[in-house]
Amino acid sequence: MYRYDEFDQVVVKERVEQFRGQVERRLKGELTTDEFRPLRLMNGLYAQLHAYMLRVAIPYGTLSTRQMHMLAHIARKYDRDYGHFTTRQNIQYNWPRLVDVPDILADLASVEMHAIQTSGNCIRNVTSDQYAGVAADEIVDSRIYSEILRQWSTFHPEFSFLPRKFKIAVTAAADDRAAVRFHDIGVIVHKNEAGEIGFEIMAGGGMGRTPAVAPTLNKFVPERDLLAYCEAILRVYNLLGRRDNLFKARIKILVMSTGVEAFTKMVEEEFALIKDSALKLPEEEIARIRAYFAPPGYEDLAPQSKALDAHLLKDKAFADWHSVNAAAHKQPGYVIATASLKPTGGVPGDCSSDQMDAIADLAKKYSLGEVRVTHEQNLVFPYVRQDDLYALWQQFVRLGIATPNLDLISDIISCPGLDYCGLATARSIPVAQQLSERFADLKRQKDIGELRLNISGCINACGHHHAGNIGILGVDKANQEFYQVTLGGHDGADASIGEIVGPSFPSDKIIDAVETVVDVYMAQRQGKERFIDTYRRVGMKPFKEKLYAAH
Amino acid sequence: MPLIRDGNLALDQWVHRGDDEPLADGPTIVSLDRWKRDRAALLTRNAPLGLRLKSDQAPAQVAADLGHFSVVALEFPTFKDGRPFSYAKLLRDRYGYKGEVRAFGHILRDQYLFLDRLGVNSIEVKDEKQLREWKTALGEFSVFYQPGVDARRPAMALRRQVASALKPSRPDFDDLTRVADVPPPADAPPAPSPARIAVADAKVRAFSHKYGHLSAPKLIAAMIDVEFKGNIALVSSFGTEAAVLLHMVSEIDRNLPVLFLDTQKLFGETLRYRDQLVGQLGLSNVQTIRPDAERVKELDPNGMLFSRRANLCCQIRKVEPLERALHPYDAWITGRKRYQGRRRAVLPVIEAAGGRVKINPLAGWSKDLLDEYFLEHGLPHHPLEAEGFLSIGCMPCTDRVAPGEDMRAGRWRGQDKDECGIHETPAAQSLTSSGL
Repeated sequence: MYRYDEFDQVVVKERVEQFRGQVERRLKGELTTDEFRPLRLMNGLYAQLHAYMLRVAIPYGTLSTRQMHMLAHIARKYDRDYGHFTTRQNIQYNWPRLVDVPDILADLASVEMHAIQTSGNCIRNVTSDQYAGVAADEIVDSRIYSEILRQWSTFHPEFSFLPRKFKIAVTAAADDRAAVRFHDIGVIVHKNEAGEIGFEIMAGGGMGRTPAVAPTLNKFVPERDLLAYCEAILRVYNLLGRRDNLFKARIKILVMSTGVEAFTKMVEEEFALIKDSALKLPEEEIARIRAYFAPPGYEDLAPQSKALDAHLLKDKAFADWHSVNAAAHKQPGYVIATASLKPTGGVPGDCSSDQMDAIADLAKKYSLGEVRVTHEQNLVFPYVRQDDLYALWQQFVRLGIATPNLDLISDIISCPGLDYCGLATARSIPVAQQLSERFADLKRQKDIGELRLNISGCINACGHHHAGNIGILGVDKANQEFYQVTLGGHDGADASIGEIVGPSFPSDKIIDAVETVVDVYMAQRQGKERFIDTYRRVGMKPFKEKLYAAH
Repeated sequence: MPLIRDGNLALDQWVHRGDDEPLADGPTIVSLDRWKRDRAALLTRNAPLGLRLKSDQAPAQVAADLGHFSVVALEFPTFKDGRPFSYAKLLRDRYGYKGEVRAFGHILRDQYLFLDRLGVNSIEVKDEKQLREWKTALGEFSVFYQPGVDARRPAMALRRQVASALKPSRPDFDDLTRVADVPPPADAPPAPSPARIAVADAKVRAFSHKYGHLSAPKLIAAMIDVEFKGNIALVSSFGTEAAVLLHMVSEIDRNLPVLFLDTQKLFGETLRYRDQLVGQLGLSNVQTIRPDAERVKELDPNGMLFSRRANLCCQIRKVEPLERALHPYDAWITGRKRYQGRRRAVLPVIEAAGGRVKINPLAGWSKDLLDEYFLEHGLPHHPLEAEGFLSIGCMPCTDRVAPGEDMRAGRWRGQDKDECGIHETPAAQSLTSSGL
């Protein structure tokens, strides 16, 4: 994985000292609440309902053992012994004290981490495919380009006060695991016939109150022009994006209102003017970064482990977990294992300090010291020898992270909701917990098959409800929590936005409503058809009829 | 309203005029609307003209007219409106505007560095008492990832430079020193051979593994007693922190050559402090190195070279004499530390420079650690430290440092210079450097 050189290290160190100064100015009263607000937000420090919340960047979700131990240490020392992994591959601490934040940042800097631009109207942490580097279906390790973008976007002098926040995601695999089409800029790495790397670049996707699937601006931007093309998009957006209305400030609104064609033309014109500037990526810089993501020292193993096969035959529970939570690895004899942070009745994405420490130790022993955070809020062990998988799974069981529910109905994405968040209009976590209990039967879950269920506690859609096969949106109606249901959202290569099924349900009816949706699907599906495919075939009607028949 | 230019309070000769106000006689800044309306009349005035752009008025609208304006003033209605950042960049990069770009309105000092990077020269601030805050903000970061329109080079370029450090030319430094047009002295030692450079590099790599775990005194002992016996010198400025390294050395080998550069421009206090430390620590081999008298006579006859070409002054009074004095040695020890900031922030403990191994045993030491060491060993302080001089060089080019400034802020204040050159020129002649 990437290691800071002396220049990267100086940036994060200086950032710690700068923020320490800003906190001191605030505590001395030299900065007003209003003036401090944008400064702390640029450093991922939010004022939540009950306390500050600190969001720490995990660039493209990759963590070393050392970093994971530090995240555990921070939770233990400065917070309430747990952290929350988010849909943007970050981690959030819910209870830090303002005076401690500079020390937390110094601790993070000591392991090459930071909270830079995890909030604010700037370019946020770049996300990527959690299987990057090990996926059987990828062209190249997408983290090479994620890291190049991370550096370029860090303290960008021109683009730190954009109309609104700006999110970039990169994937290099056929199966889009990074939901790139739901980002302000989505990047898909391609190879042309000559074997050269290039990028399909999309802009204007997003969730929020106006969900949009990003249209493609350019199908093949040459490798060396990645930064110039992104800079062109950002400049057009910074100059023309709306600043008069918070809800219309994202780039997707600009793309929609100018039209894709006109927007693309502006970007291409700007790009033509700057592509031969200092933004052109030198081959040696790409090579320097690529070297950090070279494949690790794999052992020469048989493609199929006999030990693994034996355990699969012997242990039914392990076999069940394996069929859901293990993925194909590009290196023979290795396997990708996903630890679930979605235990039945638990809070999606939460992880205790002890769990983090134990996970770090396991990663050291079984995964070449590396863990990945997924945008579905789970943790991936990318380099597991098939021979070791059974032992690793037993440790997962011990730690309560072995729920075999990857991509199943209880693998719920949920925002923190009204339990923590100042913007939320309803709670999300209790709904997620009740749903995971209602569908606790693993046999039933597996029978239902791949079904993404996402919950947001407000219109801002941090819980990605628009992209859920079943989406749930919490709304407030005369101080009562209600939940709107959307169907047909999807965040793969064939992304789509969910459609509202009808009037919202009160909190005591929403769980039954979801079950009804699932029942309709089970009755309608043909063969092994996934929920999303059934929905696309039969449409909204049968679901709607059943849901509102009793009313 | 007070004006800050390049980090300092500046006299603002310009006045803003509204669209229907009478124009001032002197330099005047008018709005885009007024320029469009009164263009002909404004062009007949016999005083410089400035243009004011609101945050929704892109400079593209007046690109062809920019030659008429000595100032373009960009308004920030709120600090959250980031459009003027792009305007500044476009003014410089796209339209080649060479005049002053100033920013005014609601601007946070935390945005100053960004503006500076995009070619904004001056800012109208609300309260001149906050000058120091603004100045501090300008130095809060020393590494940048993006190309700007300023002289700061992005990390990518610095990395390339490090990678190609063996190449003899260093364009960035030549420009800064402006010594290239002065031929070196006739008796200058020859440049190190490639073989010598390679040997020094190999030693640095080997020492990193072998001595990486050692504390400063043990590292010094290993270098003096084992690796470079009789072939290593300490270079000391006898400045505010020098006593720490001198004390360590005195406990290992009082007879180690200690080279002290008397530029003949030093503070009298420094010379007296040197004598005091030499006596107290029992140092028996302190050699005072002076510039070549002929060279000084030729290039700095009236002693005012520092005011015109500070880099050339450093060159003949420090760099060249030290290069001569170091000639017999294969290694030297310096007292530089990372916390001193700027270029030193990335200082390795062992590095190769000019075909020599260079040891910086205190690279990782903090100010607190140094203070403790002074206390613990009863070391005297440089007399000027109490007066606010935190880093001391030659008298004409050393200023006091204000609280909150970095410790070397008083060196060559107001100039684009923060090192004299003895730690710069030969550093390029190395393949690798190693942080322990």
